[in-house]
Amino acid sequence: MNSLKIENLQASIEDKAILHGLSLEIPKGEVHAIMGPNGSGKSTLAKVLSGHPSYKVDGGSATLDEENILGLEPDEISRLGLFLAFQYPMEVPGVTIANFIRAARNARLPEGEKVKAVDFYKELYEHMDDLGMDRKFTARSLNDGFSGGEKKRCEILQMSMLSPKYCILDETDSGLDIDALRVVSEGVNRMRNPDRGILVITHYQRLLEYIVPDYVHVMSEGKIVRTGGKELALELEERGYDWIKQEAVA
Amino acid sequence: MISPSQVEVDRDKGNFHYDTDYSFDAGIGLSEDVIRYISEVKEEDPWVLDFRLKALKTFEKKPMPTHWATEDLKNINFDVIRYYLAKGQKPSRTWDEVPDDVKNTFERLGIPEQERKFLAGVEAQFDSEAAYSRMNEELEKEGVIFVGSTEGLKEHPEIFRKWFGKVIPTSDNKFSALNSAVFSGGSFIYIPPGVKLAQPLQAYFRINAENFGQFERTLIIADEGSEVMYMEGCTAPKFETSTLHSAVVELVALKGAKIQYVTVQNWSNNVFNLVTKRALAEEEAEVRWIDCNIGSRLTMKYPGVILRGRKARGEVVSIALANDGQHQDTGAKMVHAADETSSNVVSKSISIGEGRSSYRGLVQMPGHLKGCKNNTECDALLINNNSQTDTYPAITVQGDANSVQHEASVSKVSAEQIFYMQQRGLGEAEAMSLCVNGFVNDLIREFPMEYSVELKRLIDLEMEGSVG
Amino acid sequence: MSLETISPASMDTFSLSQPHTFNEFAESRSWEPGWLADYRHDCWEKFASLPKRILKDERWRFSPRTRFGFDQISGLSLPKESLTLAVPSLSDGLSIDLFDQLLLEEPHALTLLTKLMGPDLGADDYSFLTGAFAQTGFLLRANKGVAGVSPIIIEHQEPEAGQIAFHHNLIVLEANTEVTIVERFVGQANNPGGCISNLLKVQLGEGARLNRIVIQECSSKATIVQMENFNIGKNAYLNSTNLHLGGSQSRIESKGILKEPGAHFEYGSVFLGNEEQLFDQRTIQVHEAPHCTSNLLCKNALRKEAKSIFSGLIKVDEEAQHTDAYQTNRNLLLSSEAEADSLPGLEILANEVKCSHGATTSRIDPQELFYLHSRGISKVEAEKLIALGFLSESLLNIDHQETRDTALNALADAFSS
Repeated sequence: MNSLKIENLQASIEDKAILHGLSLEIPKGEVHAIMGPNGSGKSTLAKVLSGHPSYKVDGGSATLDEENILGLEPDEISRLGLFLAFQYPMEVPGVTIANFIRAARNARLPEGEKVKAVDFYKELYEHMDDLGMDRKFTARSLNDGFSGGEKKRCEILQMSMLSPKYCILDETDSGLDIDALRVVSEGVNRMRNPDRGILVITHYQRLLEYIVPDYVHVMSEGKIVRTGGKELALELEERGYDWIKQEAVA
Repeated sequence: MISPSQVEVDRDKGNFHYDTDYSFDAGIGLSEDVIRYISEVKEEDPWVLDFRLKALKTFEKKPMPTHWATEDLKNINFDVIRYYLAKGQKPSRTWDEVPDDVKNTFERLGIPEQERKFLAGVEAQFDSEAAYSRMNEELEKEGVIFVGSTEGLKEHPEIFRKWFGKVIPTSDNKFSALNSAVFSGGSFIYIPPGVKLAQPLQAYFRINAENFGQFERTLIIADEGSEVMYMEGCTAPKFETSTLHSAVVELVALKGAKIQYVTVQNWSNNVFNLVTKRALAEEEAEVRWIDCNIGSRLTMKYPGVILRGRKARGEVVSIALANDGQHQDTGAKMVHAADETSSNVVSKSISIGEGRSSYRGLVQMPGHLKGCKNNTECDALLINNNSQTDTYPAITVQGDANSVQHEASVSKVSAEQIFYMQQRGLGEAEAMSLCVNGFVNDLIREFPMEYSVELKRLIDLEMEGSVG
Repeated sequence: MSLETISPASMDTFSLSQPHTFNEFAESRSWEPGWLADYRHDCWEKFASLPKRILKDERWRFSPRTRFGFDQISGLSLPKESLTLAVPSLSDGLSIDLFDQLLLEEPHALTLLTKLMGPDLGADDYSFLTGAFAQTGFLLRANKGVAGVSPIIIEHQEPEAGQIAFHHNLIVLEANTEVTIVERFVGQANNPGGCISNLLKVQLGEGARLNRIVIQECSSKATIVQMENFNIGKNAYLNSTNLHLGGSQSRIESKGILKEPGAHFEYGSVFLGNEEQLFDQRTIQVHEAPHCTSNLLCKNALRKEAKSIFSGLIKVDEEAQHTDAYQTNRNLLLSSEAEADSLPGLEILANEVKCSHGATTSRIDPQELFYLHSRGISKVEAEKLIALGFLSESLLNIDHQETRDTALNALADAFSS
């Protein structure tokens, strides 16, 4: 089945276990949200699925359209079609946005082939216009000196340009004012389609007013402890996370 | 403009050599006889021979500068070097006349092709003498002179003798003295007043023989209001034993003149590259040294500008890349000697593996001057755990009417940056290369297009195998 | 001969370059323990075998070294007057003693002095001579866990003209201690110029904290050589804030060695130069261990023909990953004949580091001056205000209020003179 499927995933960093047997399946065409308190392991899940070298997988499986992704290099996982929009996008001085995205696109082509500059820029500018980004941005260094909102827009721009099969948005709403949140959410919503699965990781319900999920999962202590529809997010907003934790313990 | 993909480059491009018969060979080691031989073969005027012989004495007296420089200098054995090797003293004016082995060398290096495409003049030096030298005929009519050192001193003494050895005195350092004793080849250039060259002049310096020392001598005089860009490239094959390259380059920018001097050095790892480069800038003149140092075992090079006229400007833009077994010891000297002069130094170095990059700077502003400014930035990037970088600037400012600012930083490419780029689908090595190119990107733009493309690829090739 | 040692008069041909000077001195100290006699002798030998004239010593670059010669020195100062202490009531386990006194009561406590190194940044002659001739100094010790409340005041007295005072000092703080000291260098305003050679060795144990404030107000003719070596242990913290005002010529050598993870070295220096004052400062931040931080800020404001030399180096060893090290030198030139030389250096052998240095030399911003001018402040007064603001940055960080006020007042007074 075409999905991002995670089964009983266990992972640790520096011998500290963070994920304790997490299972989750995101079929193509659906938008899932993971909510949870700080330290519940949400960001770890995103990093582990992307192959971050600091994390160690201790058990379980993760597949992308039935292909294993655990143990692969981050760039291999990316080329298989998984995109992670970072909570804190890295600054890379001197490397322009345009050149970076172009290099990433070229990396997806057979060796020796390259994207045509004219087509590439046309497409890039269209996406930038959609995201309300000034075209001058293409010549700026990747995330270097960007504001929080600019960084997040730049993440969505990369996501649109690389058309991944599955997207994970890690706390994309953090550090955004209401206008930026709207623009970024519209960008994500434009990418919703039957051939793409999206996982939104967030701490607050606010983002889910703009990107309305099909399912909401609650994560606590490295596991999914509850799954429901979008109304679950509202319930969490009202009642906080404690009752979930208590239920989970009970 | 040519398209980038047409420029063929390779870090190993220079690693080949042809067995060549030399008609003129000064033998092994350095002595008064060797100098007399060189001077005689070149049919020099007596004053030039005198100049050389005095320089030899100075060279012998001067200690190695190991009180501040690397001890590796002690590994140079002056007694086993061949100081003069040539097939003939007169360069050909057409490539057809150039002997086959020499011509093949330069063709492999792509020189004739570049000449056709974008150069106003070319000189190609093979060991001690230029094998080929030719300049756009129209420029010749305008009075531009572009010849070798021997010809320059013999045919145009009224122009060149006045400045020869004046910007860099023989006794400046041990290696300037050595060069003054045994110099051969190089470019002597004169640009008449108001002449602005639209295209660059280029020299290519090729070492072909083992145990050889190349000592070219360059003197560029840009007369009032003229403009010139000069580019030099250099390669040598990889020999088992070390090779010495020790040039002296003097630039004179008269009132309102502009000189840009571009170097892309890609020496093999056995070359000691000890070069003295200095410019004199008169009133409102501008001198820019644009310098990229890749390869060599040890490079010591601190291009300088003596800002002698009001509002003169000096600039050094340099990129250095030190890989395993290499030490790039480079920097800049800015001597302010007139009011309202300004200087700018931007230096970026990358150390890979056990490579070591050092920056040495000198800025002087005496107290009787007003309105002088210097800005220096040097940034170092360290790639591996065992890479090394040093920064040793020396700044002297007197008086309350001048200002100097120096900043240096050291950084590395972080694992998180690499992960971020990998998450977008780039391989680790490619991500690293992109970061390194990004680090020097703003400086690479200062190089002419043809060179900047070559540079990027050279950097990519140097980066190979540096990760993992 | 008495313990008071030889006075200049007792030796008619006192000269630091003559072996008999040392021999006679050693003889007068024959009552000292053997290990100390050996140490003195060893130091003298090292001094005597120094090359007489080094043409090009990078460690003295830009420095008119002859101003630090020994020709004018005709005798040693009396130790009793040379160093005095003002000690608040101390907690148990915290002690400060004078070298000469300890020599009689507890000589063994001084052995560490002979084992620790000096900063070794160029003034080898002064360093060895101090080892050979020092008769006084202070020894500050804190046992594990002890914290001193009030600052300990140490006063180094500039000797009479022609005399030299050698002070050899030691600070040893054991784990989790905290001490604040104020070292004042003082002299008579009209003294035609004595010489102080002060060598300080510091060792900080795990988690120890030393706050040190130096206020130097010697006579305008004095020669001052300060050599200090700080060995900073695990999670230990050393803050040295220095105000230099007096002296005709000063040579300052400061070395901070970050020996174990978590060590921090904070160094601030302020010099206000006037007339023909020479301020020759050499610093080094040596990162030997990972996860250490150091921060150095040296500011000089120069009037008349004053000259400053700042030579600083950050050295990061191969093992010292995760280093954060900063070095800044700022010079403000207030006259057309003032000169500032700056040699800010880095030697980095680890790659996981954040290191930077900056050096600027400039005059007062004319816009800034104009602004104050336009508010009715005279040019002289405006210059003074701006320069004071420039210099006081480090001093404002002194925690102890009384000491901070003392330093700021001393600086302001120096400006008015």
